[in-house]
Amino acid sequence: MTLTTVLVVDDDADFRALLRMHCEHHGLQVVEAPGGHEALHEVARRPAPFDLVLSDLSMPVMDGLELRERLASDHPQLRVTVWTSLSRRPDGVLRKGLDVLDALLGRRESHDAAH
Amino acid sequence: MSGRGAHPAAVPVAVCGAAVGAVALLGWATGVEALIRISPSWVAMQPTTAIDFLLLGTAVAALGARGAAPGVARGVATVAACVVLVVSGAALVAEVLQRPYPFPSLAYMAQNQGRMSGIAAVAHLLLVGGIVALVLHRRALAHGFAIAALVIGLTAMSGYAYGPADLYDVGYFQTIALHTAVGITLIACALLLAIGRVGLSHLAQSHTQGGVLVRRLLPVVVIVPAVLGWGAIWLMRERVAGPGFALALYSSLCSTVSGGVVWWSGTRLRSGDISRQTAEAARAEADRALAELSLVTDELRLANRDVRDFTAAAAHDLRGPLSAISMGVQMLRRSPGEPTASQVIERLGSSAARGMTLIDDLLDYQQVGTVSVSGGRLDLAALVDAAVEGTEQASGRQVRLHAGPWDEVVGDERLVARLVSNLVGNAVKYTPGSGPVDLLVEARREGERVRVRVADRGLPLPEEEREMVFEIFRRGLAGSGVEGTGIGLAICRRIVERQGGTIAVTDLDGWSKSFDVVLPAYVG
Repeated sequence: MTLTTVLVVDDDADFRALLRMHCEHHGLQVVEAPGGHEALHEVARRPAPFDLVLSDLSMPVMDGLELRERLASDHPQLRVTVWTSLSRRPDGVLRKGLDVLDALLGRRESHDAAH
Repeated sequence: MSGRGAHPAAVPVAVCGAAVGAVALLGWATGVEALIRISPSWVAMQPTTAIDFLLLGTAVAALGARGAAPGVARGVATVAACVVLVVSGAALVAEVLQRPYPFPSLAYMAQNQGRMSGIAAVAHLLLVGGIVALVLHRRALAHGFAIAALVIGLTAMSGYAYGPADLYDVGYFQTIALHTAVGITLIACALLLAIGRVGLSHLAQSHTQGGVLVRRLLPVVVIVPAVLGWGAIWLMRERVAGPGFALALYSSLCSTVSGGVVWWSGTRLRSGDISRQTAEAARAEADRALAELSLVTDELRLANRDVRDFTAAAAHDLRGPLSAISMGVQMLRRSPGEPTASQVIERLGSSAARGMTLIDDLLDYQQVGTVSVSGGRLDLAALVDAAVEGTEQASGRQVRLHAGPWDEVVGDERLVARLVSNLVGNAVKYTPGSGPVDLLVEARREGERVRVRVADRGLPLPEEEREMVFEIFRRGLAGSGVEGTGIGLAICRRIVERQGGTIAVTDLDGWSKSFDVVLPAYVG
């Protein structure tokens, strides 16, 4: 199944905008959310689920891992990927980088966030 | 209660007292005169007195025996005391009424009509009182009875030392035997030992100056006059001196010894006082040093917090702009053409600018923490005007200033200028829309402090965020759409703390919120 809609979650406005540009370049529809609560709000109000949720790890108020937990309990079928620019990686989190992002967007397997 | 707190010597001494009675009874039984009256011309101990001593000695020994069953000890003591009460009480009553002793089978009727001497009876009754008081746990009362009996015993003994004939001429001392006096003294001492640490006994055993005084001086004060008195009597008997001279000599020697005792006590007390004063001075010194140390520790803690916050903030938050720049550069490498390029470059510029602002703010925060603080009277009006003007220019919005009372404010001019400017800017930033901004600034004196309030009608701040808002790089939920790095209020707090004040968010009628800065009214 091709990805068509992506939810991009990041508190940094510039980064979010760049991500959007990149995803739209790949022909995806993008919805932005500046934080965890807003992301949950967006997920809740869409009738058709997002194909992918891309979230930054370090955000104030609710971080990426917490967001992923919350989404996992309410929407278990949703693909959520959390990444970070921190060099010490907690488990289950990718490093940022266009190649990684591309791989994610192009991948067809349905297993969840990475290693 | 039995025996708890009793001195170990109580039982042996009580047994000695009982033995005095036993020996006299033995004398009565076997007819050995020496056991009964010691010296042929002296008075004999009545059998009743001897029986009393046996009973009293047993009672005191029971009460003073550690490890005896309390009920049994009390029972024995009570029974013995009751018997003595009857025996001695009858003797005293008979003495007062000048009648023969009512129990002739127990007494030596040829002496004093079978009655023991009045004073011996009184002493026995006092000892009964002491024993009963001790059984009832009234230790202070028992102590009093025992001391009284002891005084009688000692007086009688010293009377014998000075010459029995004189003693026998004194009213109720008539017919008190020497070993009776000894027995009374022994039982009284045993009782004092059995009572344990109360009154004089307690004092004598304490590890204080008082205890030392009692232990060293009480014997002197009791024994020396007795010895001197004996000396005076001897002088008079040997006709070396007449009564007048003997007494004069006695009294002046007593005074000298007493004076010496007082002098010695004074010396000890003074050295005790000096030690205490020295110790107190040392303690005060230590307290001062500790207070200073605690101040220094507080300063260090704040400084440490600053360094931690600064480092964490710098490391963590600069990553944001740098990540965006890195991402943008990667995107440009892939597709250097339009329309992507100019959009990406715009984001690069914005991230770079944000990074710079962040660094500037961090440096501001650090400088506020380390710059030296001076203090003087401030022209708050001028500072507020400058802040309002600056904010109006930067934001393009009009500020409607409601000026409250402006009591005198004291502080570092540059730092307070920054504080006011930050608070005013904050008020404008968090008032949504683009219309005029209502602002209240006032300074009121509250005792030793001044409360400066900056209130606005913008977004209110919920209770649970009112602490967090002063941390570096924290913004409230409601404000997360607002520009700015969130360090402004942290800088305000640091400025306020460096001047010994506090800052908090409070409510004010007619306004959404008020930032209250409380500063000391005086410098230093």
